[in-house]
Amino acid sequence: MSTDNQISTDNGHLEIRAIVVDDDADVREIFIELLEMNNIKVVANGVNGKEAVELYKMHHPDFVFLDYLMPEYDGLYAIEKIREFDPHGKIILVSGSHFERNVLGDTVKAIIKKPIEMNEIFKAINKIILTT
Amino acid sequence: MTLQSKESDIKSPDEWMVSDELKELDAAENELVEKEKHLTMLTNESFSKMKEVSKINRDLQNRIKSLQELSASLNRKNDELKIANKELERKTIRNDQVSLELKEKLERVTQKEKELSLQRDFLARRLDETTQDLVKAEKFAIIGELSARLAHDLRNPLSVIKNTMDVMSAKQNMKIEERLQHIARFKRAVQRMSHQIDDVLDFVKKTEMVLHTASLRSIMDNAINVILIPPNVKIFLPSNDVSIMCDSRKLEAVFSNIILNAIQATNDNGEVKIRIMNIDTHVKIEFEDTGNGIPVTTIQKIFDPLFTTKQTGTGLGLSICKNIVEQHGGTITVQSPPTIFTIKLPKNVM
Repeated sequence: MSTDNQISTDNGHLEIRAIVVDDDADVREIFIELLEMNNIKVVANGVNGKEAVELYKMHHPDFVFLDYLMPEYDGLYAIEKIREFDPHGKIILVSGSHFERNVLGDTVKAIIKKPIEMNEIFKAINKIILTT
Repeated sequence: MTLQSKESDIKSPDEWMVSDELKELDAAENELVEKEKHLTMLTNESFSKMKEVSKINRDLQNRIKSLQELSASLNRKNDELKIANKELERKTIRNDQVSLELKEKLERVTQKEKELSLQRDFLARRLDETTQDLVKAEKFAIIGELSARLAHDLRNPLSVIKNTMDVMSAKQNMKIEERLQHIARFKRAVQRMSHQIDDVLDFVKKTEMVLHTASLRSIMDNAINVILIPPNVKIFLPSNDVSIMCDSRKLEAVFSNIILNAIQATNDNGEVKIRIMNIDTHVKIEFEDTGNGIPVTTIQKIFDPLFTTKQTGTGLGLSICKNIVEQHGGTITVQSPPTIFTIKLPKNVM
């Protein structure tokens, strides 16, 4: 679990603050790099569902990019816990398979399939922003 | 006699006549006595003969009597035999009838047997087909799960490759250090993908065994050579050795898999002890580690395909190990804690 302690000096209109949770270090790191290149500020990142919940409480990000299959505390754990205190939390599931769709229903705002395509990420973000 | 002599002295012609007659008389008398004697003798003789005859007669009578008795008993026996014979004839007739019925019944039984055998063959075929269907369904289920899992597992390194490419094409003027970092990511992603594909292929195709006599210690040494042993892990190899008939390359894969698991179980800090035990026609190999042990819920599924507790595991390693050991006619078991994997192999695989 790592947290970016830099406080944003931006006025908050344009910059999106996000957290990224994935147990795979390479996936996580390059995804963060890509997000940052596209003006999405990744304020923190973690490796399992439990860290996702803690980081969410700490940072209240605009978006959570969450992996589903993770050891010990998976994505489902994080989704349930976050919804307990923030039913409208904007969780985007970034996953490797289809079956989550059946399990999760509409508990998440969007499901993005790996390999991650930035266009898909922007589409999902715009859709969520427009509907809320 | 003297008187007679005197008288003879004075014999007259008459007297002479008389005297002759007397003589004759005497002679006759003598003859008579002789005859009487003879007669007595004869009488005696005939008497004894009579006695003899009567004895013979008695004997004969006895014999006749016994013959008569014999005859009577023979008659009785004969009668009995006749009755028995009649009875037998009756029985024979009955037997013939029964035999005929039996024949018919036997034919019916044979017919039934034929029908049953046909039915049995049919059922056996059905059972075979159903079993094959089930095995196929099971295989399809495993293959389905396997491909879903493979697809899922490949998406992570694929994502790494794709996103690294995105970053690299967006940043044309990249520092060499940063470029090397990205290239290392490419390498890791490609390695992971090949490893996952290899594991699945190893699981799916069961190759033929190449059997030869090999020393278990040398197989172990080869297995350990391909493993990077962390500095705080100590491996204790057995001091003894046994040579067995086996596919050494396959066993090497089994040993390295189990030793690697054992090292991971110690969290890179502990000991792994390997023992070889020579038991008659078999050999037992034990791998013990000083890790925390395996939870009960995990231990039940540990050899199941696709079961894994690791982040990047395919869940096929121990399943492949089990396949190989069973291909050798052996068994693999696990107990915990302390965690001991036990492989039992026949020295001469059939």
